[in-house]
Amino acid sequence: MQGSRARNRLVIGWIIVIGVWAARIPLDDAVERMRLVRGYNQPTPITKMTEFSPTAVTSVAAGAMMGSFRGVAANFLWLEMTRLWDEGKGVSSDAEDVMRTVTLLDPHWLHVWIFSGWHNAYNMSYEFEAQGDKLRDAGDVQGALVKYGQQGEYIHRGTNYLREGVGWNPGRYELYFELAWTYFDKWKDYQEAAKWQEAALRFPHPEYLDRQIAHAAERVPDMQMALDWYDFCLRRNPADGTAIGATITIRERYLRAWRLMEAGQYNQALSAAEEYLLVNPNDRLPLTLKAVILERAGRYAEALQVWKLAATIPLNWAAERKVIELSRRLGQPIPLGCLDEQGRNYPAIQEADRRAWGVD
Amino acid sequence: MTKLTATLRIAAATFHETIRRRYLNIMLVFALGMIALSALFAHLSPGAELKMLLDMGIGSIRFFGMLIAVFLGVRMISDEIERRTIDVLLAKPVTRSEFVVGKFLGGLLTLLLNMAIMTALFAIVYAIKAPAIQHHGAEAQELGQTTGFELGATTINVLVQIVLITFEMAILVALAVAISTVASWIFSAILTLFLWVAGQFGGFLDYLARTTHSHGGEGGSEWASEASPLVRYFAMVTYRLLPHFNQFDVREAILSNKPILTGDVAQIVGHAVIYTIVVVAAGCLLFSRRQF
Repeated sequence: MQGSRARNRLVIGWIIVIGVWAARIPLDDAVERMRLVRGYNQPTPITKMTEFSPTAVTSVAAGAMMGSFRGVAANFLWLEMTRLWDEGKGVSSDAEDVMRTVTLLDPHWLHVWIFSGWHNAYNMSYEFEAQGDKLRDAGDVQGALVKYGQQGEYIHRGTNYLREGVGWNPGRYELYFELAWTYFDKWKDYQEAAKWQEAALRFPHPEYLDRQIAHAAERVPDMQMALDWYDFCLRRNPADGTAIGATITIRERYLRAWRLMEAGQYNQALSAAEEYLLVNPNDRLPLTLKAVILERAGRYAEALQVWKLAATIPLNWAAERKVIELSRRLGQPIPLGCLDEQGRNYPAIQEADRRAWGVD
Repeated sequence: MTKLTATLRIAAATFHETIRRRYLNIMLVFALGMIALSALFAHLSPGAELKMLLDMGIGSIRFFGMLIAVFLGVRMISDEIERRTIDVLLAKPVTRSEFVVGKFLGGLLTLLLNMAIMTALFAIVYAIKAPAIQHHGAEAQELGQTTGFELGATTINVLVQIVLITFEMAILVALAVAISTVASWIFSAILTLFLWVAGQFGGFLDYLARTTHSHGGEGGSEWASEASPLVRYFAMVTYRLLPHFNQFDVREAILSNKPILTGDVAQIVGHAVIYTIVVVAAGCLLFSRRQF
């Protein structure tokens, strides 16, 4: 009798325990939903495991197993990266592997994405540039072109790192800004730079970002957009010396030509743009503005000549891209002269069209 | 009142016994060493000092808290059985449930003491390093170079994280005690550790269980659409059975300066308390039929 009573109590006890355990499942689900909505529950690479290359899957799986210790593992790996860097092995494949693994372990650590993007776009690309320069100096132009092409690939790799980082951290301004800066500084693609800059501004950001977008707009060139952004900077901080200086410059040198161009008065716009070129014939912005006016006016042959002149300014790859574009449009061979005095032309290589990019 | 007294007496005796256990004290010493070293690791990581400090410090508290919880929980009842003192205890007017609950409470108290010591040291390290990190960040902030971090908000978030870790460890102690009522301490330790590791996978198992058949459908991927219903069912069952230790991790909120709302913490804590009670109750039921 006592035995059966004890057994009954045991059965009832288990029913209650299992019942309570099952009843707390909705609360468990509510907690998971809450964490997702609030952002406590950031996604991890394990949910995208099949999208990574086979060599990356190991890191992803290891990261998943470590759970909340992923961050600690990533920190220790980053110390290893620091060690490789200090030993001068920063451009080695080991360093690349470590960087990639850290991004897979802790995809919400912005510093690693920024560093990886910068390292590929600047340091690694420079390694190939240096190799290309050696080959060019030795007379192997085609070999040099291949190296310059690889240089461009590493710049692409840098921007791809940053894009992937943006995917993992869509709410942080830092990666948008780094992407914008890479396009601005490395590719000289000011339109793309302005696009990413605008994206960065949607999130809490430091003051100078707003000026950056104005700066990029100047170089596109889109003077009205540049002025609008500088005006915004001045409304926010009337003592912003950079914005004051830039506004004065634009109004004095470029605004009249720009407004005339927008009104379709291309000849007057050209005269206005050439006023400052009399003072400084090789200034990048006035040359760019003049070339844009000529393009708008449909005078592509003249525009090409101006772009060629602009392309002689060191590191003006935006102009070199325009030379290539217009040369193709006009059916002209892309001149060797659109290389700078050191024989480099990154955008041409990046068009992945080495056959069309011939020697004039 | 008598029942409560018996339970509390067992808890007090367990506490006094376990705080003297050498292996736990050694773990605590290692934990304190790692927490102190977090300041050095932060120094070695320019640009990521705060992240390193928090990862190392909080990570050490979690890791060593986990070790203490597991090895504390699995030994409390197992040792009594091995030493045959269980016969003496159960000969007294103490029910088996009071014994298990008392052991759990005593172990929990020991865990709380260890967590408090680790937290105190981390608080000292944090109080020294965090303002310095914020000061460097503030200079850059004044120059408009960065958005910086708010010391007060981050400190509150860190405290919340430690509180959540404490509840996570409480579940671990409960699991360890419950399993040790029917298994040897070695097997209990292995199983509890496995549950803790597997419990970190909650998000992945939930993702596997929820992915649909349609190619490119909501939450679906090409691979997931090829996963059989059996795999998805297995993932769902495993997800439901395992404790979800990933719920106690709010690291991303700390590092991205997000406020952690009191209501959210209450929800997580409430769920943890219910889970702990269920596990301890299950332990009591398992122990009620144990023969020695």
